[in-house]
Amino acid sequence: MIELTAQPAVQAAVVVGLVFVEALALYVGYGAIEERVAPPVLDAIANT
Amino acid sequence: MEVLGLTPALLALFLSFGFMVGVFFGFFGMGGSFLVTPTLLVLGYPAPVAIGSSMAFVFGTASIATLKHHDVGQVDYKLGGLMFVGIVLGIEAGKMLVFGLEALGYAELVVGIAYILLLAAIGLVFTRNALREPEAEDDDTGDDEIPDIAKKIKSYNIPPMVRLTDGSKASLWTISGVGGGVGIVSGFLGIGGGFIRMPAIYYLVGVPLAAAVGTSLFGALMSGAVGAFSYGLSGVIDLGVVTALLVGSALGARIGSAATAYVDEADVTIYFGIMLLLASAAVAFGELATWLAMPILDTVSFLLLIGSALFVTSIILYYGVQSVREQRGRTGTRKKVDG
Repeated sequence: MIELTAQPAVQAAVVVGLVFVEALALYVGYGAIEERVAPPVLDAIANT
Repeated sequence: MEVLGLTPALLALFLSFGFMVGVFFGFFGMGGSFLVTPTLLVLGYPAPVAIGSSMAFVFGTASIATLKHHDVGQVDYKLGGLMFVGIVLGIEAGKMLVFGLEALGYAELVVGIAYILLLAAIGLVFTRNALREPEAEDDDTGDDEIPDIAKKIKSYNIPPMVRLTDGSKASLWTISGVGGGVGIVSGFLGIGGGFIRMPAIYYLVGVPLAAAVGTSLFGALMSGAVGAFSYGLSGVIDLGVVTALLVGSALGARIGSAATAYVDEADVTIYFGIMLLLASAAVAFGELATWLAMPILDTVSFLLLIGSALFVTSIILYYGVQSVREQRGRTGTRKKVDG
């Protein structure tokens, strides 16, 4: 388990903030990958 | 060597399980959280850790879904905001219930039984709908219409009444009741609660269907944030588990969402229903493993839960691949003929 040492309220806010940043990064990152990778992947599926 | 505080085996498990859960969420619009808590319980995580981590996961997935939904969806932010106090109080009540039961040593048992019933009930609804004749599913109620029961509830003017974004009025008591009621379930089970909140907003508050879906999603985001903060105060959220699940589910949700363009939901709904029934049985096996002191039942429970989820994910991907080949093959043939 990842340990965070801080006041409970700060610790809880950090957890919420970290999860939101992760979600944002994943949304943007996967979005960029999908744009590049999806068309060739669909073509590859159609041609196999 | 540990990554995110997890062994390589656990990391791989959570990444792949997150992927499967994401595919369900992207494809069916639900199932993103009510499989996470039972799986963590089966893996031996204490109930507060399982529920708190699941709430943080809900917050992450709801944030991503809301970002995607923002431009195309209809969200009644005013209604969502009015539900906020109810959500906070409900989640706090649900959390107090979990910690109270934990102090008595019954949290895993009671939460487990609640999940057995919940998964069985949703599984039966999905299976029944899948087996029902297509004609029976016809619903005359359009996206902008409000069901009769909601009109009836709206006719009781219990003050204070508030004006919603669509111009209609609703009692603050009804709105707070929906927020608080679903909040208790969310806080107790660690779920987003969209499968309860959406119908509640539609049938009890009387918001048109399209706006009810978007507003329910916004409600899940608030529930997840409040739940993650509330359980985070107690330091029981496993960020490593949440991160691994999110990395997998964000990818799975994109693929599941893309699959809706190719796969007919009616073809796979029955498998999803059966998977939920098997998940219910899996949690029951997990409980029996504790009662009967038979660790082998824990293994059966784990294999049933992961195996059924893997099977349904594979079915969705299989139908998706087949459909892409058919549609693109047809287009390719047409191009050749036209050329």
